[in-house]
Amino acid sequence: MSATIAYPSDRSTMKQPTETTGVEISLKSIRHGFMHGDTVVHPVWDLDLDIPAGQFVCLVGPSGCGKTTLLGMVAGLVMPKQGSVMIEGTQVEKPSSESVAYMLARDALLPWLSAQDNVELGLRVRGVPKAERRKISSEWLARVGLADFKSSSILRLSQGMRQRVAIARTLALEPRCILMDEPFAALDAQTRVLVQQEFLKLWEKSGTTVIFVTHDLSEAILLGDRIILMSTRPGRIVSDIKVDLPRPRNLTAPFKNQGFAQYHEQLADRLRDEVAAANREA
Amino acid sequence: MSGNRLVNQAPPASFGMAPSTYLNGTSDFDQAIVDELKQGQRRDQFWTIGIGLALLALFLLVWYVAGETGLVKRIFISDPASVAIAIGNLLAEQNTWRAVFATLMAAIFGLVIGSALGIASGVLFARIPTLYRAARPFLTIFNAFPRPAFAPIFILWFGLGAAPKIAVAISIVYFVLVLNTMAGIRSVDADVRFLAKSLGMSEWQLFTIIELPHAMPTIVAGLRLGAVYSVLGVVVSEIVAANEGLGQLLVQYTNQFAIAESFASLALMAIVAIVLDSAVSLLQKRLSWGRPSEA
Repeated sequence: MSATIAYPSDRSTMKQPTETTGVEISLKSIRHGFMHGDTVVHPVWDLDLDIPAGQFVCLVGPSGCGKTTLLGMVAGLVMPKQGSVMIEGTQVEKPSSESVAYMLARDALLPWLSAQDNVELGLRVRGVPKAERRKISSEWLARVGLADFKSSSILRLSQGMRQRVAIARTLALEPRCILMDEPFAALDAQTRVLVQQEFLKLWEKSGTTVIFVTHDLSEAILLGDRIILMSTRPGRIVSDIKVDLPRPRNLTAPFKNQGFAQYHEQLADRLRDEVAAANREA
Repeated sequence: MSGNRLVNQAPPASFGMAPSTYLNGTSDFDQAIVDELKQGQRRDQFWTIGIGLALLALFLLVWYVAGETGLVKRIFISDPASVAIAIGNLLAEQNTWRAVFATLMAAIFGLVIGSALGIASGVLFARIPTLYRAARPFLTIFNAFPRPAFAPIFILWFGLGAAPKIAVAISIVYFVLVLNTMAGIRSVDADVRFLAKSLGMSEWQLFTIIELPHAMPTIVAGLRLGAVYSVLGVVVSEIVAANEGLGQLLVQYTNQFAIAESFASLALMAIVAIVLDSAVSLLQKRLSWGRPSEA
């Protein structure tokens, strides 16, 4: 897909991405295997992937194609049996919590802590002093629209609010790379769009590298700069598609614009074909 | 914030009222809703107390009528008034207070020592699965013994003082706390553990920031069970043999066919257990998180 469709942004006054603070990630000839019952399965096999700094990459593929394993490798929580994972040219050998933050489908908030204490969790682990933690977490709660809910119990918040707290917790660490494993999958359709938009707005100003796992092709097109389609086990890259949609993007009414709608449809068709082809092969 | 890569922005105004304004009606409309809620709460309270009193009255009536009509011989069940008088008489005697004190102190020691050991072992077993697998057969066998049956042996070993009672109480309370502590720590969500790892938490941080607070409600629930079981262990041991305590008091009165005084002793045992349980439930209110429980 090389055609770039001019898409007049209705929010062109917004600040464009400033200087890139994300990290460059490189996976080289990765092979991995683990025991599943009595057999060894290969979630990833001969995988090469280079991600330039500041790119928003969506990983799409059927269940069990090694997407989550791949995120684990970048986070340094899973060590590949063969091959190497490099962040900014340095091999990943231990949990890379200094530069990388993780976000899951379920918010994993701690119900005995207030919203604010949850946002501070990662900072607390890093040993940031209390006063500074308070300041950072207050700022982030305000940014995700929860300034009034600082001391609220997590159990009183709606799903959408909880995921916003999780976003604040992730971004408060100022990660240079965010790994997201279907982060919005547990939200209802309307809340999902709101939270996606919220996240995208914050991300577009940050220049952070993002690896985003999703099952939702439409979500991948709307959010990503690039879509990596993976085949089922052993996980390989089937296709690597650039998404030429201008930023900042408006997710609340993406189809108002004719160009966007067409482009989205073309990409979606292509992705569906690729998925079907991958399934036939498997 | 260092770097400030993400520019601050005003929060959208569409996320509802601040929680602080929820419970103070700001208009007549809101006030009506608050009033309705409060009225409902008062109604619930009225019926809770009303039904409770009715059940108590029914119990006393059946008890009284059963004795009065000769359905059951009075010599076996006494009657409500005599038991009330007996409680009064017992409480006037210094001897009774010594017995209450002996039982209560032994139960407190049993609960404190038993749960300290139980929580410590539970933490070790939950954190070191290999240790748990090695210890499991022993725990299973030991837990299978009806622990109050140890009382005669403990009395033989430790004499007629407080030690054997405390030992019986410990042997019961310990297992309750081991199991509850382990269950609490193990029930930490896999996602939360994953998050903790991705944040780079040390094992110690994982324990203090996640596992212990997560397990706290389960541990405190175990403490409440333990409080009642501790009194049980102490009293059974006293019934077998002891130089003082409510168990001994009960045995003495029952042997003399002083049935009202026997019931009165039983009531005092229950009160000791309730006192201990209430003390722990205060702790529960402080240490538990989550939705308020009915217990």
